[in-house]
Parts: sequence; C-alpha cells; structure tokens
Amino acid sequence: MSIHEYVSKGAPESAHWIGVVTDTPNSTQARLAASGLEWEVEKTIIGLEMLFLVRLPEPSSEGFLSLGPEVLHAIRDGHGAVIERPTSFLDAISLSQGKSLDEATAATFANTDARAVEGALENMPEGPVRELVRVYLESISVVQSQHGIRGNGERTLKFISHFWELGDAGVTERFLQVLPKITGRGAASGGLERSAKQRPQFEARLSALECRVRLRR
Amino acid sequence: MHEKREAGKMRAPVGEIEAYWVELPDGVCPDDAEVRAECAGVVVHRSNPRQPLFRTDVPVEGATIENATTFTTVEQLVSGHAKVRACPAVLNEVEIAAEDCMRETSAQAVAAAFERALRNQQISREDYKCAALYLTAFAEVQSKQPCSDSPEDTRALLMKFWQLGDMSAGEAYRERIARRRHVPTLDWIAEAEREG
Repeated sequence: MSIHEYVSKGAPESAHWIGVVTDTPNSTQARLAASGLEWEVEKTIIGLEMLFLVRLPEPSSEGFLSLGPEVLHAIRDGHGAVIERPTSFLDAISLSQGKSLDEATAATFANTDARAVEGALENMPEGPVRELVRVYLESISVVQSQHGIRGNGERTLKFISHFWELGDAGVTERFLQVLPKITGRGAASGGLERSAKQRPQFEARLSALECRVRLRR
Repeated sequence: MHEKREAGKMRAPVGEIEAYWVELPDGVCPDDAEVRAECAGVVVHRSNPRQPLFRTDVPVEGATIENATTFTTVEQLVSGHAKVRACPAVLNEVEIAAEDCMRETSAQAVAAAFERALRNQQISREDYKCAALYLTAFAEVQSKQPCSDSPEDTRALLMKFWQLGDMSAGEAYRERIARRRHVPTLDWIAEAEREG
C-alpha cells in the first residue's frame, strides 16, 4: 500500500511518529506539505539540517514498523510518491505560456527542459501540489543541466507524470538510466552551456545524485 | 534556491538518530508525563503542550518486532507505571519537622519536608519533582480514605513502592489501605469453639 493510500484512510487515534533528519529541508517540507501527513518541525540541528517529526498514518496497534522506513524514504529522500499523481494538475500546465524565471529563486537550472516546465508552473495555482511538482523538476534538472538537455518541457513533463509514483528522486534515477540513450540520439547537441559560476554547485549536486543512485543499487 | 544534495549527509548526524517517537498515552497528564520524562532522560517534543511526544531509541530503519518492548517501556515511564530513576536514598535522611505535620495529609507533610530539603540543597530538583509525583498520588488516596499512616510511615511506603512508578505506587497504596480497612473482625467465641 502506498503512503497516500494510508493517508486516505484517515488519521488514526493513536500512532507512532518518526524523526526525519534532512539537509534539504525545503524539499522535505514541500513533500510533507503535500502529503496530508501530520508533521512538525522539531529543531534545526546544525546549519541547514533539520529534524522533522512525522506521524505515521497507521494505528500504533498495527504493524507500523515496515511503514516507518517507507515514509522516511519518501519524505527525506524522495523515493516514493507522497501523493497520488495529480493528473488534472499536470495536464493543465500550459507549456506554451511559460514565464521567465529569476535565477535567484528558480528551483531548476537554466537552459534545461525542466526549466521550461517550471516557467509554465508559475501560471498554475499556488499550493502544496505546485511546490511538490517543483521538487520533481528541481531534481531532474540537475541531470539535464549536466548533459545540456534542453527543450520546451514537454518530454520532462510527460516523464515526471509517467513515473510519478517513484517519487522525485526515483524519477530522476529512472531518467539517469535512460540518459545514455537520450544523449546518444543527440539530444545534448547544445553541449554543456553552463556558466563557470554554476559549475561547482551543480557538479556537486550531480555527483551527490549519482552517488545516491550507486548506493541504492 | 537550490538545496544541497550530498549523499554523505543523508544519514542523521552523530547525536541525532532518526528514531520512533511515542505519543502521550490516553488519560495521562501532559505536565506529569514531562516531569517523568525529564527525570528519566527521555527527550520530549513540546510544540503542542497537550500532546507532547517522547523519543525512543528505536531507529526507524532496522527496527524489529523485539523493539515493541521499548515502546511499551517508554509509555510506561511517562505514564508513571515504571520507575524513572533509582530511588534516592537521601530522601530517607530528610528530617520531617513538627511544622510539616500541620498539613492535611501525611503525604503532604512529607512533601513539605522535601520542599525544605530542596531549598536547602539537600536533595536535587529532579529527586524532588519525582518524589512529589508519588506524594501527590499518596495524598489523593489519604484525603479520600483517611488512614493512620504517619509521615514516617508514608515515607517508608514511598521508598517501598518507588520501583512501581508514581501512578502504580498510588494504586498499590490505595489497595493497601482498602485491604487494611476490610480485615474482618475476629469472632473470639467462634474461634474458641472451633479450637475446642
């Protein structure tokens, strides 16, 4: 059973909570806000690291021990969807009317297919679903930036929608798997157009992402 | 806007584990539960004063069914059904003065003596707060079921029942008094005839 199916059963009267330690609190908070799970911020540990407390959507009298890690991986790491695919929301994104975004506030990297989707996302109603989609886009744009994958956003939007259940990190990992085929077809014809200023940041993120993929294999 | 994503930082840092937390059990006073947790060294999350959360040492990843006893232990601790710290021997050394005995119940007399000992730094704040929970439970019993236990008797029973936790100690004390009040009067003649 997925997390959103547990959540849809309604909050149990008594339940256990789990501590979630993260150094990506914005993404974690976006997942939590959309999930429908009950949660609280316990504290900032050091720097960006934060401890969230999340109530498990299963009564404490039931077998919740397997649910704890599942919720942890979805909320902390983005492995597993926290809500059912928001089909109507994704379908309503109009890629032809995307806005130009401020680099300082954009979640995605410039000159990526995901950036085109994020630009279009600005026309969608504000709310937790929009922010969750942004997390999906942010994750996949790291890889796209490294490999110069640009476009009008259509393929990224379809890819995210199709693999939604994997969670944002899961979608990106799936994207990494097909990357050789994508770049082999010349999709990366634009080359690596990132600026020298961006390089250290996204290379660190890419290597971290690739390291996570290796760790999970 | 971009958040750092580094594989090496995905695990909890030293000193902060991704653990299970338990809710306040039904019917337990939040303030008392927090005192017990503080005395037992259990970490409390207090953002909602009516619903504090208590950290266990059961990790989210790798927990097994055997860890269920840890959840029960923490719940018993914060509910007052298990001792939260060793019984402080120093409580036996506190003098119960005549002025303390002016209180309504013997338990309140002992509490007054302990309070003075706290002011005189004879006992620690944690010991006092913990003992006060027991004495509150005893005082409640004594006010409802008047008994002949002196302050010294009450202190002796406090030490005796300490290991049960304050709520269980209060229940044990209530049962003890109830038993004492229901000892049937011996019929001397019937007993004598039975012996004869």
